[in-house]
Amino acid sequence: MEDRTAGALLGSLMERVIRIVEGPIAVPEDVGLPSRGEVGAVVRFEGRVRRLEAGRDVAGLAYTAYRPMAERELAKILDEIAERFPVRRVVVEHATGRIPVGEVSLLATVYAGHRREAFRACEYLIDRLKETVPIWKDGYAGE
Amino acid sequence: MGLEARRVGSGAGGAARPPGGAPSAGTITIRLFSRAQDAVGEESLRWEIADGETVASLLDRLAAAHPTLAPLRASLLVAVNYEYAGGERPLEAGDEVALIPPVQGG
Repeated sequence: MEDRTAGALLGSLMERVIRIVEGPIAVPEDVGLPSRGEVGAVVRFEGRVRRLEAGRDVAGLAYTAYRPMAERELAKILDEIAERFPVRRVVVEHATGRIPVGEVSLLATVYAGHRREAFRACEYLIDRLKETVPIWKDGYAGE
Repeated sequence: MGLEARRVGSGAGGAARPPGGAPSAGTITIRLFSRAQDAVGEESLRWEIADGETVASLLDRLAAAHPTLAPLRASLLVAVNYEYAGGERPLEAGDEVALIPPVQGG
């Protein structure tokens, strides 16, 4: 099989989960391994809200999303990942609404055979998300 | 902000219609986000477009009707029906146009 065909086949087999959810994201203890024992590397990125945002103390960040377009842009990014990295499964979850300092606004989990593609795909995902996905944040003060 | 709540306005009086009495080619919805929403004071507008309306001509009319948008214009991206679009993109009745200030996800 040509490399290109093999890559396209593997890419089309990559599992993808995209969720845009209201409120802080709960990080599951169970990382949810796909079955069959192919996954040797799971890279999980937690994006958490910092207290200092743009030079100003906040109680949290309020996220808004242009939801239908955000989902489409995330799907495109996952397509890009499937084309570039031999990854088994990607789960990306972004929060909307008020996320207090310390809580999770973005959870990205990449499952791959080996660590190199898992780390690289996860970094690629976050970098691309920050370039194109229509989501915005606004600091809010405590009550 | 409620996810489903939308206030739909028509913008400054008279400016929501095609200029110079040109016949209307239908209406579009304009979604405003972040600082664009702050500048205009609406989440959503419904405007009539003329034949040959493009993203660029629409932005011109929006900036004329809402001068507070003008300083943002250089940093705005525009989406038509959930896809990024350039200024030359023609608009049709029923399109959903979104003004996309610099994104801040993650």
